[in-house]
Amino acid sequence: MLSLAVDQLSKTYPNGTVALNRVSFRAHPGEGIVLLGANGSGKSTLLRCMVGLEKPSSGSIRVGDAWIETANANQLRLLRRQIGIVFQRFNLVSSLSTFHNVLQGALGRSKGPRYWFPATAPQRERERVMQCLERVNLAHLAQQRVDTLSGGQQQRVAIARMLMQDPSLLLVDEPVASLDPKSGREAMDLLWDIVRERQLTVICTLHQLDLAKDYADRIIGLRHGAIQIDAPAHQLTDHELSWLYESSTLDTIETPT
Amino acid sequence: MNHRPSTRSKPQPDSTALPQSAPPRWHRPSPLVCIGLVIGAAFFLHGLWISELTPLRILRGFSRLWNFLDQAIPPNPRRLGSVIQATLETFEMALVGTVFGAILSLPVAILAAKNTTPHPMIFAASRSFVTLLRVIPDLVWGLIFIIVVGLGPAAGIMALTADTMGFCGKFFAERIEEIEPGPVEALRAIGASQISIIFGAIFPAALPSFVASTLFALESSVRSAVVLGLVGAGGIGVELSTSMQLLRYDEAFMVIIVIFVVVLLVEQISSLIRRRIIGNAHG
Repeated sequence: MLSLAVDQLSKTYPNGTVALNRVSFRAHPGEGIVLLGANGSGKSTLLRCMVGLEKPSSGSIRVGDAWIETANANQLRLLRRQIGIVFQRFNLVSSLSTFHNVLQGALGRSKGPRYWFPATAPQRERERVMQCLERVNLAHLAQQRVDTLSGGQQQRVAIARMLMQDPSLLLVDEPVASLDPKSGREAMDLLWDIVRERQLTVICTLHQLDLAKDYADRIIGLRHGAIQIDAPAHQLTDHELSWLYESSTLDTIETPT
Repeated sequence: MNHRPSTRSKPQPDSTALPQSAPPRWHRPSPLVCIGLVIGAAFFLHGLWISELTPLRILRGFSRLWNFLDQAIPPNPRRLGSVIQATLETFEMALVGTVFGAILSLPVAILAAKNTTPHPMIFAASRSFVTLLRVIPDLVWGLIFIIVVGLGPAAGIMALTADTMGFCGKFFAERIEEIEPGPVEALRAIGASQISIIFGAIFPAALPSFVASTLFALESSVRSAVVLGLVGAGGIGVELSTSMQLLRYDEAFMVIIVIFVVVLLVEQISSLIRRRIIGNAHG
């Protein structure tokens, strides 16, 4: 459980695209937030700023009691260790085994070379990898190369890697976008079970209104990089939410110059 | 672009949507291309002239070649034992030089790849270093290292190490630059250190290509190692140059046959392994 405060966050790319426009919100420990928004609304940029993969143009992000945007390389590493991230495209190392990929979740904890290879990893960590794989029902595929698995299985490997990392704050980037509807639901169920079990603070970007309403405690709607909706999930109607996805031909694109 | 309107074009219809006259058949090349062609042709003709490569000389050369073959056949296996031993030394020189070169190329490639270099200055320096290793021919490295460590296979190994680093350093770095950014980002987000990311995501993804490049380097090293012997850097080349200078063409021919067999074997085996690796990487 880790609190998160985003304050007046803006991001403008060198080509002039405004990805985020003064975004502010606060996530309480244990809260499940879903970020909704059309493609290009700035959801992914927001997540990437939160782990320091991208530098915001202005504004601040506080995780626990540390500031991401001013952290030096070492502090950033320590912060990242506490923030798990599950990517839309899984981002597994495709030439390695399932076991090896999950073991890499521990790389943030160690500096030594023992964690680089399954053969040299400490027994305790090797057992933990198997526990994480069992939690996502993939223990039987531990030795398989990860690029031979199906999309749904790869997503579960990515979730197991996140379990291995053992974060306090979880960021999830469109976990179902690369999956068929059934595997998508399964992935969401699994993720949310884990989130509740471990009482993680979670911020999850989604496209699907129905999924968002089923899983979220709170929904934040982004449009053109700015927060348009921020309310408990049960208070929002479909009509309000679908507005986020309507084409913006009528209202001018909100890019301050 | 000089576009000369054709006088022979048919009368144009009113509609602008229809195509106008066809593009000209011929564009006059730019002055730069003309100058380049003239300079290239001048070098070519001058080269032909200084070599005095006349049909008569070539014809006379054939009779000398016949003379050589006449003395060379049948090849003389009298010294086959020492020839095979020297060939083995050549192969081992190539192997050791290539392995050293490939291993030393790994850190250099990390520094010389845009996405892993710690600093643009280090990037530029390591790229220049690799280029320097490559632009100096292996034979020149051989001569330099003979001065450093004296005649023998040690000089040959060092020359081949330098040569392999010039080749592998470039190819490894280019492969690292092509790596998918996703897994690297994932490990960075986990909080892995740079060195863990290199071993955890970069090397595993690039390994098949690294091995394939190294096998290419090995093939080229085996050929280089033969020639390096001619300047005294160990191996079969020494045998060949001795036999040639003593006009023992039948022994020289034996040496050439052994070289042929070994180089062919290495190339065949290496390409077999390469095909297996690249096949696996795709399957």
